Amino acid sequence: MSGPRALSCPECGGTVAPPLAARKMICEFCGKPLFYREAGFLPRYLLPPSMSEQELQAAARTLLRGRWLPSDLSRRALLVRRQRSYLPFYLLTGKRGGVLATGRERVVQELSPSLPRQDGAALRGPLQHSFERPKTEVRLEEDSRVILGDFRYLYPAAALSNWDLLDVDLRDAVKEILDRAVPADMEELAGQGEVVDVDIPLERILDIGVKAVQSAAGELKVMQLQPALLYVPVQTLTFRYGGQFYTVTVEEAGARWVSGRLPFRRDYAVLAGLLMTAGLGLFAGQFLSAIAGAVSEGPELAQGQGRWAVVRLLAVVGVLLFPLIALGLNAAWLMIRAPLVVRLGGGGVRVDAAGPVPKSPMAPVNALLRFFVGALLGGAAKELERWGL
Amino acid sequence: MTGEALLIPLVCPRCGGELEGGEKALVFLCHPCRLAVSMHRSPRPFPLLYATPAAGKGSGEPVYAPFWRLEGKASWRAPDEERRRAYDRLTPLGPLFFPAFWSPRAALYDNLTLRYALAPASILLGPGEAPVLDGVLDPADLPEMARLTWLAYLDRASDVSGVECLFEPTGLAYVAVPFVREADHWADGVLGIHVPEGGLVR
Repeated sequence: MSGPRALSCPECGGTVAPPLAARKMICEFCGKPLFYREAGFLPRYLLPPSMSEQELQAAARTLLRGRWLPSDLSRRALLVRRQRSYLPFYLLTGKRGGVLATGRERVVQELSPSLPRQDGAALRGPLQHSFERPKTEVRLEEDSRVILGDFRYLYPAAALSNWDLLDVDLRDAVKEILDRAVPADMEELAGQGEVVDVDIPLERILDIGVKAVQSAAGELKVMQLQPALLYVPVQTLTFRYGGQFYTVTVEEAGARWVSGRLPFRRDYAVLAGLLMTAGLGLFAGQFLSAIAGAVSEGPELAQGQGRWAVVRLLAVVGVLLFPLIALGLNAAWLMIRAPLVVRLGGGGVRVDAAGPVPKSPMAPVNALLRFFVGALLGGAAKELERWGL
Repeated sequence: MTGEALLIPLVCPRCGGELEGGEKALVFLCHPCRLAVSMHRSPRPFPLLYATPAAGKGSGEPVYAPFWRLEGKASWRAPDEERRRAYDRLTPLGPLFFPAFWSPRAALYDNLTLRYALAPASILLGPGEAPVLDGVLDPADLPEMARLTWLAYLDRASDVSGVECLFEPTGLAYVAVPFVREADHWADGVLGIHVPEGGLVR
């Protein structure tokens, strides 16, 4: 998609630079209007930002007061950087048309010929139809559909992963507000933010897009194709909170948060972890109490076999209760100590791990647990059986 | 291709005057000569006309949107008598108006082209001076689009499998149709057809 670097005015011969956004240009030497007809030239449009400065600030404040975020975030978060970027998208519009042979299924019922009588004579008169059976069949009939209409496709013209943006999320957001597109003044955009370079060739997009527009059988043809570049403004805000940096990105034309990473409300996680630990303790206590009660009142102690009863009790506790408690404590540890963040996306808000979990003090217990599980699964049961337990 | 070949002076082929048109236009206008010059491939002039707003169809300052108005004769050959009769019963279509302006809205064609073609008497044409939205549609594909428009129209009466349809263009003009802003949409000043708010991009 590389065009010429310099052009000559056909009126005065002056050297002029190729236009950036519009085909129509003025020769800076003779002042004559000129038309630039380079084949790969793309008109450029802009979805203008719809949020005022006050609205953006209010939206950011509301965002930082989210239920999954620390309660002091909106007060203590320090805005350290904000950057507006214009993300490029290819907008393919045009007309397609053709005749599609669709076919049509029709259910047909026909009366079968008269059943022959035993004596070989055919029935006559009103009784004739009572001996005829309806025969049902599905017939495929010729049918066509004429298609002539507009198409419109939107594809990213630059890799959006640098903005931690999901292609589908942003495309869906932009498609809803395409109506607001206006011709872009590239110089003005460059003065207001970073105009992101196109790094996905149009040829690749056309290859995908035109194939999508044409039917598999090739009966539909693209008759007019008008590719354009559409710039979508996004603003990235970077906050500092608790010694960490967090960023969120708002799509300014539709006023929608499209990506971001914010701290998770740790008190929720700690509370959940503590509740889980307390619940497990209560459950374990009840369980032990019940077993101890059952064993002490059992016939073994009465018969002087208390030693074996205690061993069985420990085995039950070890096999059933120990893994459960260990798992619960591990889960509680994860909740309390795992670095969690809130991620924003087109689909909403989700809580996600932000990095590796610190080493758990439960590590020796986990090793023991792994041994138990291995022993159980790997045939240790047979050994226990052999020991008479 | 040399640099010279890529730049064309935007002047009227008849009077040499400066052509009018926005930054995104591919069709430029010369109002004194009543010409529209398509810059697709090489410059080609066409008559420029304005549709007269109908009385009572909207108020306020209209915005003029460009259409290619294609006149021609459609003919078809149907494989059986039943379909021939069904097609003959259809009201003949008038000149076909294809939106020439860029629009991010799909399906403008469905709303406008067929409805204008079914009400040719309502569209009165004359001279005009008002600015027109940028036109981008290449007129080269219009005959095929007209053929398909006719075929789609015949399909309303009876299936067009095996039907051959031909369209012979007899005249092409660039027509500016007035649209007026209403509450949350545009309405054309000829038939009062509604176009969504973003259907016309200035």
